[in-house]
Parts: sequence; C-alpha cells; structure tokens
Amino acid sequence: MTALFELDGVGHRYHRSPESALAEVSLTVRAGRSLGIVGESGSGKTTLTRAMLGLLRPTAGTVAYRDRPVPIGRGHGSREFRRHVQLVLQDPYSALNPRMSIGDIIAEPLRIHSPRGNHRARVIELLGSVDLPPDVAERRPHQLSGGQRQRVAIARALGPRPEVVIADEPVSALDVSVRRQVLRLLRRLVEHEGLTLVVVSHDLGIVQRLCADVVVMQRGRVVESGATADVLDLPRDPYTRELIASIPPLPERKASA
Amino acid sequence: MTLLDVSDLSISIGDRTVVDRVSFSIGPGERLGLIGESGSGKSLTCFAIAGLLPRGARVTGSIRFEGEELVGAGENRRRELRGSRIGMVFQEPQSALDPLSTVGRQLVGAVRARRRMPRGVAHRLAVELAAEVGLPDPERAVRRYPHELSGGQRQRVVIASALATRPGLLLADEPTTALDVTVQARILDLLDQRCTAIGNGLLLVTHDMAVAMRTCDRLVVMAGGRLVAEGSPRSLVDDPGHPAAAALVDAAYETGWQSASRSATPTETAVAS
Repeated sequence: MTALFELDGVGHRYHRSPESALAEVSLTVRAGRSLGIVGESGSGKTTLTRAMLGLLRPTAGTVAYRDRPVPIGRGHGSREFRRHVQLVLQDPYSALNPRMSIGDIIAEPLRIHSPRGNHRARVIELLGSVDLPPDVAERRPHQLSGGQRQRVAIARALGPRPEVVIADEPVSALDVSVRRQVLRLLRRLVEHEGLTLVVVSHDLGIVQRLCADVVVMQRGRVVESGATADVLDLPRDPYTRELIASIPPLPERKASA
Repeated sequence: MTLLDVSDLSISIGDRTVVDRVSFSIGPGERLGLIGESGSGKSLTCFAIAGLLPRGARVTGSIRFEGEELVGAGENRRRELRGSRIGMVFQEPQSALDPLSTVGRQLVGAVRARRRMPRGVAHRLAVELAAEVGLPDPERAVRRYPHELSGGQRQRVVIASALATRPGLLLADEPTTALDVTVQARILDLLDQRCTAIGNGLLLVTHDMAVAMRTCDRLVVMAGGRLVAEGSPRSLVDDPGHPAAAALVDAAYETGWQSASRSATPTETAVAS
C-alpha cells in the first residue's frame, strides 16, 4: 500500500522552550487508511500537524510525502505538495475571508493551480458534493450557519482533488446535529471517494468513526498506535486507558435503535 | 417544598422571544440537566435564575427560589442571593476569578463578606476549602494567583468558592466545556462529590448529552426557546417524545463515543492513487 506521509524520529523544540513539543515521532499515513491523531492540550498534536504541512521545520527527524521531503514554507517548490495535501481547520469562520463570496473562496485554490480556467462549474460541483445548493456561491461567510461554513471549508479543500485532507478538530466547534451532518459527509468522502483523512482531535468518538488507524499522543510522544478498533477496544498504554475511561458514556440503547 | 420552581418563564430581547413559557422545578439536592444546542435558550434560562440577564431583557412568568419570587426582585436582593444561597460556575474559570487576588483571598471572600472573621480563621477556612476541592498542597495553593494554576485547578477554585457558603442551589453553565477530557472527568467527579457532601441542588446547563446523563437525575431539553422534553436519562433515550429531542438524542449517539467500537470503525477504503 502506498505510503503518503512517512515521519521518522520527528522532534521539535520551540525557540527558548525548555521542553520538546515533539519527541521521536514516527508514523506512516497510507493511501486509503485515514489516520486519527488523538491527544489533549500540550500533547504536541498541533505541532505535529504543522510539521506535516511544512509550516515548521522540525528540529529532529524527517517528514516525507511520497518519498520526498515535505517542502518548508509556501514557496514555489511547495505548490505540488500543497495541491495534494489540503487543510480544514476547527473554526470555519476565521478560516474564510469575510469579504469574499463563497464561490470565490472555493475557487481560490483552483486559481492558484490553474489561473486561467473558468472554475464556475467545478465550484457548483464542489458545493453539491458537500450537499450545498448552487446559490450558496453568491453568498458571503456571515450569511451561512456554522455547519454550512464548515462544509464550504471542506469543499474548498477538496477543490484541487487532494490525496490527503488534514482536518484539525473538524467538528469540535459545531452543535451536535450539525456535527452529525459534517461527520456523515467526511465519512462518505473517506469510504466512497477514496479520500485519505488525517483527523487531529481530542474526540475519540470522531476518530472512531472516521479513521482506520490511530496514534495517541501525550506530552509530545506517541504512546500508542495501531488499527483504531484494536487500540480503542484493547488499549495497552495507561494514558490511552485513562483517556477512554474519562469519556462519559451514553446509556446503552435498546436493540431496536 | 421545591427548591426552585420556574413556571411560564419567558424572556424577550428587543422584539424576539428567546425563551418561551418554560416551566420546570428542582427539588432539594436534586440534579437537573438542562440541555440543548446553541440558541436553544438554555443559558438565558440559567442567567434569568441567577439574575444576570443583559439589560433590556424582559422577563415574565415566575422563578420561585426557596419560596421567594425572584422575577421583579431588586438588584440588591439578587446580588445577596448570589453570594449566599445560589452559587455559580461558568465555562471559563479565568473570567470568574480575580487575577490580582490570591486563591485564598478569593475562597474566603464569599464567606467573609457575610461574616467577619479574624485573619487566622479565614486562612484556615481557605486551606480547608482548597483541600475539599482536591487542590494539591492546599497550604501553598491558597497563596497562589489564578494564572499560576492549570485550567482544571482554576475550575476547582471556582467550585470551592461557589460552594463556600453552602448554597441551596448551584448553577453550572458548561462547567467542563473548556477542559480536556481527562480533566473534565475529574471535575465532574468533584462536582458529584461536593454536591453530595453539601446536599445542594444542581442545575447543569450543557450542550453535551453524555455529560448531563452521567451527572443528573433528570434532564430537560430545550429547542428554539421552548422546553420540548423532560425525564430521566433512561426515559429520554428510550422515548424522547418531541421530534427535536429525538433528533438531539440520535445525533448524540451517532457522533458520540461508542464503547463497542469495532462496529463503527470504517475498514480500509478504496485506495486513492
């Protein structure tokens, strides 16, 4: 199976910080096997994501995408990588330019990669793929609900037909009914459209539903990794166990449900 | 006698009715969960009970607390109740604490405002309160400032100070929403334990159905400003009644943690090439 991301011994220490934000992280993201990166605040999951995106140069180890080092920064050399790897953030409101129409927001990454094309048809298609009607293209971010904005952010990320979408807490800011819609959408993209997701989240329920593989992080290190069903059903590391035991359970539902 | 009796409570802001004829009650020592999505009116209902609605909000109906009518009560009386019989814990412990005052001073502040006491006694009381909420090394903890504590420790301080006067009712609005899940579990355990020790009633306002079901004896569900369902966690899960409540329950099960995870996890998917 094709390895997309390959991280080997990645460590990072921020300038003047006494402690490492990341230490000895090795992991592989394979095509078609979505990965959940689980951790609480201070676990290093955000630093890890930034390293995978080439937004910081780790102080140790290597980050490769399809056997080539991930280009650092947003320069010309990174264009191809950026087309293949897209990002969706937790708060869709701050991620969408308030002065642009939704159509322009979705077309922006398409223009970067093909400045002359007419992207109107593709924008409508992308809106359709996230269950939004075509007329949404004329509106602006503040005219949409939180769930619609998150779907716009996903449509924008899908535009350049990426191989991987890195989603940082993609549903954490959403109400539960909207969370369900976005989760269904992501699940459909993963299961039927061959998208490989990297989901960064503190929420094990989300990872459980979206990701075939999981890594659990604590204080900058990977404490446990493997197939999601194995790790979550039979956690071996004490921290993974604590994490699972901390989740308040819903009452068992009757079989008919 | 019921501890809190809310009946036909309506709140309007401008020409919008944001809470519409809501009625529920809480018995002494009872834990009631008030759940709903954003904009359902759950937090405004809580603020109305606390007497902390924004200026310009119009309130009709009745809020009786320990037999006393609070709708129309003066600001002084409301403030007096908040410092004695009604405790409050909100989402952001940071905003509930005075950054320039030590933990100890804040812990005794509430009690001391009503009862003058010598310094030594006040200090001992603060250490006792800090110990009761599980702050590590309480003797040292009371000399610290809020910014020197973690988020979970700050919420412990807020809980200690909210319960310092042994109120009849604790209002907790999303008390663990800003916390990590392992910290949340410890804070919810602490809330259970302190509420049991003091015997106060609890109104827990939360968007998180699992948190409410874990903590409360009874739940009420709000949607669009109305109360749409009421019952024990079990009865709500089995028979939510109103479609809005059913939708909320279904969504919670579809997005929440499943302890039998094998059935939910997607297997390998079509390989992108």
